[in-house]
Amino acid sequence: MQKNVIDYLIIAFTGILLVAACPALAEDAPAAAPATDVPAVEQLLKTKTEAVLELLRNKALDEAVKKDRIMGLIEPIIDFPLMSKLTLGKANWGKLSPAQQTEFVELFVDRLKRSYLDKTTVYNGEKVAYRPGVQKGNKVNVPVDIITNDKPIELLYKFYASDTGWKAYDLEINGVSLIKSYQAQFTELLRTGSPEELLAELKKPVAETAIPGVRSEK
Amino acid sequence: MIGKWVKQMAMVVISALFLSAVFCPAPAALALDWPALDAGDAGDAAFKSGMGQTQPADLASDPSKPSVPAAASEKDAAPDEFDEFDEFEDAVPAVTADPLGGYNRFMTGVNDGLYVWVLRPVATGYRFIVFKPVRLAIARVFTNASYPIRFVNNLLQLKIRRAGVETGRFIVNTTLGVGGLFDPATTCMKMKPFPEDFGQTLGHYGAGSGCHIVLPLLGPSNLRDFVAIVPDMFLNPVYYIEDDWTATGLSVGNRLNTLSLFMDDYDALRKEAFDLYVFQRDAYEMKREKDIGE
Repeated sequence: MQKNVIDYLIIAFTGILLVAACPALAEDAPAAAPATDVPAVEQLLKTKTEAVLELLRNKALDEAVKKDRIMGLIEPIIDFPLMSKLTLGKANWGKLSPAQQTEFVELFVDRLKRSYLDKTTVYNGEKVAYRPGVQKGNKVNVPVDIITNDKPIELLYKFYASDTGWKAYDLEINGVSLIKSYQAQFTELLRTGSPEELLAELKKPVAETAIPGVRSEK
Repeated sequence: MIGKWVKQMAMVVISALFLSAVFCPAPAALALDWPALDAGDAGDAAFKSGMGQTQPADLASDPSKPSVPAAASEKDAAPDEFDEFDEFEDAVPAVTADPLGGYNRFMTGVNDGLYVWVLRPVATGYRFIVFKPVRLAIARVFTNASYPIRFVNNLLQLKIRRAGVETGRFIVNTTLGVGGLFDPATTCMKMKPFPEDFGQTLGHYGAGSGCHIVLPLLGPSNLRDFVAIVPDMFLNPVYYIEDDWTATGLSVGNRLNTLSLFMDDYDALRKEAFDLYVFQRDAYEMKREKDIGE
């Protein structure tokens, strides 16, 4: 039981890191891919991850500039709008008017980005181990381990071949899909509330729900 | 003997409270009135009519719809994004039905309150006093000592090689690693741990999760894993410590120590979740599915 709890906590931690490290070749459009795309995607992820880590290690850089540059690196390879749409899910998407859909995507993309950037600030020199990717149709999944003091955090980046190159559309942290875990929460919100309430929830500043006086260890 | 049992169980509950508090958020009030509104089928029709208007950014990134002009109310049979990425349509196992949903939400609120008002302050104080490397070493000692759980459950699943690796790890870490304070098996010998517990053993042989249950103090669980607490308890060396107070102290100490290491993560998670109960429930079930599959 205690093990489960620990796992859970690790999940939480990984979840935070999850929005973070996606890489991809921005303009390298592989299009529909036979089983040979894996190395390209692995390389893309690796290049981007290393570039982000490089920035994170640079203590001299101003925080705001750093965040800006990180976002510049990862934005081409993470499909934030698609992630937002998939997160809401097919069944929920139609409950929103077109205007609300647009607003939802804007708000959630924003949140994903902010969440990703927040998570990068906890990076403390952990090493990253790349593992071999797996291709399924036009999608390539690449597992990456973050080596921590405790057990490694297992990330799984899921890429698909978009018109503008490989892009990530989901991230799993220790088996927990980012999209799935948000999706259930949105479904629950829409089951008991209106789309307006969902959007209002998304507009709430994250800090509002935090525990007062929280101070992290690092 | 009976007395010992009672005390051990009390110990389990107390320690469970520690950790579970870590898991559960969401105001208890939510549990009380939970109207079963089923936002029915209006969705699908609206979904279709709404599709023509997806924002350009969305379309641009979608390989299946190269460049549909957003203005048109085209009713193309172009495959939809939701169909291309249909992996998200299946609900997380064990979550489709949540018969204990009301109770679970309530208990999540209780656990979260306990975390915020009791466990978190205590762990914060402890964290202030004890250096992180020391706390990490303490965590490793407890992990090392729970080797019988991993060994037996690997064997029960006929994962013989893994049981052997765990044995090797135990020997190395107990000797070279000074009773488990360090983990040379991982750091020097690249021997990866293979954690298994009885819940995973049951899952390995096809047991479903039953239904999701949030335990007091212990947090998210399900019927299968709840039942599995008992056999694993007998495999935990702490259970065999003669002095009950020592045993209880060790268990609580272990949980406090663990909590101190993961507090920040939990706080972050707590902050990001829209619905903490739902998030914890699904994350727990997904993580367990993955563990069982390994």
